[in-house]
Amino acid sequence: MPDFEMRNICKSFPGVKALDNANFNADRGDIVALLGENGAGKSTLIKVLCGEHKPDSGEIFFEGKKLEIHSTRDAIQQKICAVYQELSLVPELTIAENMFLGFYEVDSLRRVNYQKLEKRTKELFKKYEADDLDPRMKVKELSLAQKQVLEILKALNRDGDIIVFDEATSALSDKNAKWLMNIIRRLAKEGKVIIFISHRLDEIRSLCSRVIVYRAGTDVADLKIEDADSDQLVSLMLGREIGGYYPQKENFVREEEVLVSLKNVSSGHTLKNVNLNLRAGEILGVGGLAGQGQSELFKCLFGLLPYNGEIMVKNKEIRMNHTATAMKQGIALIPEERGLQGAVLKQSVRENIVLASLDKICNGLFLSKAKEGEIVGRSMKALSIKAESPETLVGTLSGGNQQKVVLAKSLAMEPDIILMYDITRGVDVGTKKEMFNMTKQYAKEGKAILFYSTDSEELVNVCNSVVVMNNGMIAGRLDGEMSTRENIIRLSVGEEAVSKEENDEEN
Amino acid sequence: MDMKRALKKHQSVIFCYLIAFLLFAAFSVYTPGFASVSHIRTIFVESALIGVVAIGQTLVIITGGIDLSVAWMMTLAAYMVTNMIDSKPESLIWAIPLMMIVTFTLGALNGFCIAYLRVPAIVMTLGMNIILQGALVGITQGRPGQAASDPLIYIGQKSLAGIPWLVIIWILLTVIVTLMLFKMKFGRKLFSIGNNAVVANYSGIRVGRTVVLSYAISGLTAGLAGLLMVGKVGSYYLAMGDTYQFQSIAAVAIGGTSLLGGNGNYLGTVAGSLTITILLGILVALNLPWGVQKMAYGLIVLVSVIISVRRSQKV
Repeated sequence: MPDFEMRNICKSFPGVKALDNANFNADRGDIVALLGENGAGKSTLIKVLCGEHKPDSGEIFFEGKKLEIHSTRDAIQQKICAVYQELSLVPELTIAENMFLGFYEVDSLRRVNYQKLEKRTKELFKKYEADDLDPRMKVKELSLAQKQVLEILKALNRDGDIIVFDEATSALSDKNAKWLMNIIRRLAKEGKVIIFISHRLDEIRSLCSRVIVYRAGTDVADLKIEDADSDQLVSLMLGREIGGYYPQKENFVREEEVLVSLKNVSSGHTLKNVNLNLRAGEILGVGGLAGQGQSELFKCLFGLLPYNGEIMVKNKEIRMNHTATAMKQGIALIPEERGLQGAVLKQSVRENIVLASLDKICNGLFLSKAKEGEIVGRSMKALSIKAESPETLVGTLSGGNQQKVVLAKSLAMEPDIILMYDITRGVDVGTKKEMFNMTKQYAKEGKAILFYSTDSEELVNVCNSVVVMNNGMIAGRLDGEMSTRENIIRLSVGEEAVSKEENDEEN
Repeated sequence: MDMKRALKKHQSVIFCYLIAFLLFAAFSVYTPGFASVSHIRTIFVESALIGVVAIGQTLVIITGGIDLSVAWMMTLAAYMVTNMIDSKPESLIWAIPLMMIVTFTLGALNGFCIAYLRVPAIVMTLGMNIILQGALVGITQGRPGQAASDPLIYIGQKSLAGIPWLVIIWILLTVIVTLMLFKMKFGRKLFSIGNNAVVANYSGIRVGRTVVLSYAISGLTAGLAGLLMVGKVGSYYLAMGDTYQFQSIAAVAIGGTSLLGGNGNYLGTVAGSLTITILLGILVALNLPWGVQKMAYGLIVLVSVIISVRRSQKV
């Protein structure tokens, strides 16, 4: 019998069977990958383990003992802890306070011993070889990368025997990802049970000893990592064979038809003198390291950020001072945070899809049920949104389907220009593939697409050209053959791009 | 199947009507005369005033805000159609439109400070309430109010084919606001703002404007309620709107609209208004001392608000 086992877990939500006799097991010292599409039940399984959801049935054993987990606090006390990709730090509290939040040691007068707290925070930094920060600093003063490291340390500080890493690497820089993977290996050596969830197969391959694949709420395979080749894993996740991951690249650019043109656009310290042309039928990638002004560029174009300079849409100067102005010009934005910016989670799929195109579903003063139903039905079909009915609340859908609703909302506007900001983040392979195909389809229809992604492979394979941003400026534009992962990286660290021949000569 | 779904969707509203009816039925058995036609008419007339104030309150609460200036907005409106024009009926022709413009504008000012200057709604509207109170006390120097002129009395006390004008106006307004909430863009915008203003903004909805409009409507409906009230009670007096502050909010909450914003239904508020009125009627009929009546009333309303808030959170 394995050291840790979840047996026959079932969990239903209204209209969805999220877990259906799901199993999971691992031994101490194992790093086991949990792999599956969005909506396959991974997150639900973890939430059951961490006491956030109560399972309808099923049992959890650790070292032969049955665990009773009724709340998140229960889970932590039974030495189960999880690292999520979202930040849960309180900005106004200090680092030390955040690290021990909810578990302060107090004396007989219920006073917190801050010196001890700070000392233990220092020890924690040292133990996990993290950058040494002043424990008295407020979290709001830190950079995003530092906060992500703290988030991980906070979970590790709970000193769990069973540790879950849920997409914990997906938002990290390469350096921090490496650091985390070393820590995970070390924890495994110390005899912890590690559950590692990731969409990146290379990561799983280098880290894990076993991989358990989930599909449709249950485990469908349990493989040693040596026995699992990538194509096999992908088809196990999808339940069918897949062809090429990226669609065949084609050029639909209409050279003469410039839809959007930026002239010396600047905003604060984050965007400096950006000049850019976006043509009909073009998929223009935006790359570079994180936080080099890409997000600000998108926000300026969508009227979310004040700017200096000129933005021309279809050869007319437009002052983008509100999202409504941008939308009137036929611009749609698919934002980075689907739950915070993209969809109203507490409203239905129907209400969300038409939210940005209320004018389109009106007959004079009043909303038309027929028109609304038509748009909603068409969108749900076109994007194959998996929801029980249009009345299902978006918050109850899986991540990939939520993202599709956000896409559907933008597309219902029938835009000419689509700004896609990291649309594949946290989305499973199958959905990714659908999204790339769609992007291509829109280019074919003559829409202009500005495509930002943190993944340079995506940029290279999906876009016609890529502009790379560095320090708020456009460091360079890569067309055709020049658009390679290597060149994107070169430009983003301030080097010159090189063509293939030059590159061969160099080597 | 469709029937079942509709029932489920509107369960909180139906529940609220059920409570109002049960309260009424139970007490009718206890007190003969409680269920007489004239008493039922009284209940609806009283509820109409609460209901009209609560129209704007419902809209504002759906956006996640609250309007605590309705009490003196009502009193201001009442002043403008009586004392200000020496109760000359012919002056009503311009005094009523002026009153509507003023209350709408003051409401919009509330909304502007809340949406664009980021003043918390409670502080802004409470401040507005106190300013209006000060202004009215200052202008009138506490002189007794004048009697309402005949046209106002007619609207406030007469009936058409047995149905009081007050109730007819309430029904009309109910139809309009229900259409606004569920059949027009305005409603969609309101609900999405209450649930997540950031998403609404990213979806091209002018959040600020919509919020300003909802507070402006709240000012206007409070003003209309003030006008109707003057006609009903026959004269203007200081602080006449005070009791409606709490009642309008309670009616919204009892009616199943979440005080956190994002969902709600004016038809629920209608039931909430009726419930409150029936409750008050029962307390008066029980002949309890005034202080006990007040306490019992406050307690019962609070408990029902707690119940309804819990119910609306369960979704």
